[in-house]
Formats: sequence, structure tokens, C-alpha cells
Amino acid sequence: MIRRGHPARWRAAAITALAGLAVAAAIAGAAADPRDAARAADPRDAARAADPRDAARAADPRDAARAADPRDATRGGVNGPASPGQPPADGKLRPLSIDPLPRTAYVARALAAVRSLGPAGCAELDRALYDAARARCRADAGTPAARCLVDAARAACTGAADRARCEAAADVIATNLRGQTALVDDATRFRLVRGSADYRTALAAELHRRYAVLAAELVLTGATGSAAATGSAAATSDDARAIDELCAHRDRALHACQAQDAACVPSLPWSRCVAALVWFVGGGP
Amino acid sequence: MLDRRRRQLQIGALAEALGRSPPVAPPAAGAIASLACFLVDPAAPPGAAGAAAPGRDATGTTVTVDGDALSLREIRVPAVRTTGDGPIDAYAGLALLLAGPGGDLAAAVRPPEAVEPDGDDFLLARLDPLIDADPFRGARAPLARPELIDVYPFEHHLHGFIDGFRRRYLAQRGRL
Repeated sequence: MIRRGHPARWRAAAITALAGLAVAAAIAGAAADPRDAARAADPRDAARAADPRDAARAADPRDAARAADPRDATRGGVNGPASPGQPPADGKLRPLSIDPLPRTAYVARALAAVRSLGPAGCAELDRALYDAARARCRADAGTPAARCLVDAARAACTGAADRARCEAAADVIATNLRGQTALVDDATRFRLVRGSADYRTALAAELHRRYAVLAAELVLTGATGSAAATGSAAATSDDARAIDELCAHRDRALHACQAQDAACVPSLPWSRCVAALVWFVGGGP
Repeated sequence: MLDRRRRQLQIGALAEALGRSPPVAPPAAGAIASLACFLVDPAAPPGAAGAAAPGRDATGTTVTVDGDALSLREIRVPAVRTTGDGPIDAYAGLALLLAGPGGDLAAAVRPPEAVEPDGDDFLLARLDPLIDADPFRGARAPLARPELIDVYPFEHHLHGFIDGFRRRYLAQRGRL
């Protein structure tokens, strides 16, 4: 069995999960329309999937240049919107001069925290926050408030040996709790409620599939840490940078999903995208 | 479009003159064409939503173009700003001009949670409420913080706004 917590193996797990979803989609398609099955089995698709040019495109230095630019009026998925923002007074676009949020450093910290807690520690903290969210934040009636979840997370980490590490991991869990309804559509959740003895476990499995697909997107960017540097701080930093980059830019194109499509991850804000990936890459249960 | 309609009417008149069955008459000019003017007028009152937001709803009248009566809607804004949350005002003004005011849905939505990015812990959870901070419904404060722009889910809010606009416009005009 592949352990996702191992830095060198989560990539394989993500690709395996994506391949499994693709096969399931092909089978479903074959039942619906033989022509779709033929298309799914088209060897040209496999060739395209393995096309090294895709990796080259993913690592295109122009993307890095775009990433360094402030958001401008030339991008966006709907009618080329002019994104709001505060351009420089001289009108020339350049990276913002104010102190940016320490995003990459924070993602690296959260990733290290989840990895160091391990699957058992993550599962324990996840359970504690899930119960607190339902008891204190009315999570059973809607999306729990962020402030309430932060308070609950602080309370859950009060007795932790390494409180900062616990809180970093709890932040990931809290954000994933808020993102559940965005990642798993109503129809799927309704199906889980009706068909599962343990809804929480079933939902966790469903979320895991979505996280795996998102992680596969991350792998395909080709920007994650080197497998040779397993467990090193440099690998964690590379992974964190890749996660931050993907999540900051992913939604500049619209991701619309059909209901009950487990192979599609919808548009996600940066925070939920990062939390999902850190949880999966870090080895959360 | 009006010229093509006029030619269709002339073809119909010619067919009648020749004793033939005339083609189906085109719809009235007002049904196939209208005018909408977005006016930048420094004397226009600013709106409550922003300094460049329209202070009044669009007004309507009828004008005559080559003998055809056409409806004219116009809206006046004091300025167009391209910085900060200025584009939001422009989007809102254009939507108000083309499809009229939105419903009361915004009033029914609970106010978004405050976004508090300062601090060195819980960065994810503290930024997550940005997903509910819809600038088209008045949550403009995050747009004034440049450090949030890179992670602000603007496309999410813009898509919701355009989706609502398209529903209103389609119901009124029968087309998009």
C-alpha cells in the first residue's frame, strides 16, 4: 500500500488515483456511449498525456514571469475582466512593493507540521476539530465560521507538546472543514448520507479522491520537490512553493464541474486549495 | 439592422404592388434595436456603493432614428476609476444600465465574515472568508489591501455577478 506521507510517494499516489478515476470514467462512458469509449481508449490520448512538451509547457518560464506580476487586466476567465487592484502611480506594472503575505513560508510550515504529526496524529486532531466544529461552530447546519474554528483549534492544541506545530496542522484541518461543501457537491453528499453507515468516513474518502486529483494537477506542473531529496527541508520548501504557485494561479481559468464528477475539482480559493494539497501531500489520513 | 428591416418592408411593398403574396413583415424597430448610454458626467451624484458608482438608476426615454422610435436607456456616473475597486463600480453601472437593478438576494445573504490577514498563525483559516467577501455586494475592504489581491478569489465573485446579470438580462430581452 502506498503511504502518502512519504514525500517521494505522494506523487505516485496522486497519479494512481487520477488513473483510477480516468479508468472509471472510461468504463462509465463505455456504458453510455461506445464512441466515447473509443475516444477514451484512443492511444493518441495516451501519447498526448505522456507528451514531454506538456511538462515543458508547465515549466514555461513565461509562467514564472506571469506569477511574479501583479494581477492585471489581461487575465481572467470571464470576458477578460479588469481585476481590481492598486497599480503603481506611474502606471508601470511591477511586483507590488508592499510586504506580501508570507505565503510560501507558511505553506512549508503547515506541510512540515502535517508530516511530523503523521497519519495517527493527524487523524486524532482531525477528529477533535470535527467534533468541536459540530459542537461549537454549528458545522452540521452550514459552513462553520473561520473565527470559531480558529478558537476551537487553539483550544484543541492547548495541551500539545509543540503547540505551534499543532496549530499549523489544525489550520489545515479547519480550512478543509470549511471547504468540504465546495469540493463535494450536494448530490454526492446526499448519496453518501443515504448510502453510508458512517457519513464522516464516507465523506473523508470522497474528499480524498478530490485531493488526489488536485495533487495530480500539482505533479503535472513539474515544480514539486525532488524525489531524491526525500524528507529534506529543501524538498518541503520546493513542494510548498509549488503548492502556493498552483493555488494562487489555478482559478484564473474557470473550473466548472458536473454534479457527481469525482474527477473534477471545482474552482477553489487559495486557502482551500492549499489546505487540500498540504493535507494530501503531507500524509493526512 | 434597421436598414435591413427597411429593405424587408420595401420587398413586402413591392410584392404587394406586383400582386404577389408578401413575405412575413419584420418586427417593429423597437423590438430589434435599442440604445444604451453609459455617460461619465462629473456632475452626476456619486452612489452609496462607491465614489464612481452611479447615484441613480438608469433612466429611459424614446428617441426617433430615421422615423423609427427606439428606446433609450442612460445612466450617469461621476467618474470611471481603473484603480482599487473602481472596476467593480463600472461592472455594476453597466449591469444596472443593461438589465436594471438586481433582486433583493444580496440583502438576504448574511454579511461576510471579516478577513484578518495579520498575524503569523492560522493564515489559511483567516484568509478563507475571502470566498464570501463579494465586492459586488459591498465587501470592498479586501480590495484596498494589495497583499490580498494575489489570493483574492475575484473570478469566483465575478462569475457569480455575471451569472446573475445574464439571468436578469435573458428574462427581460429573451436573448443574451
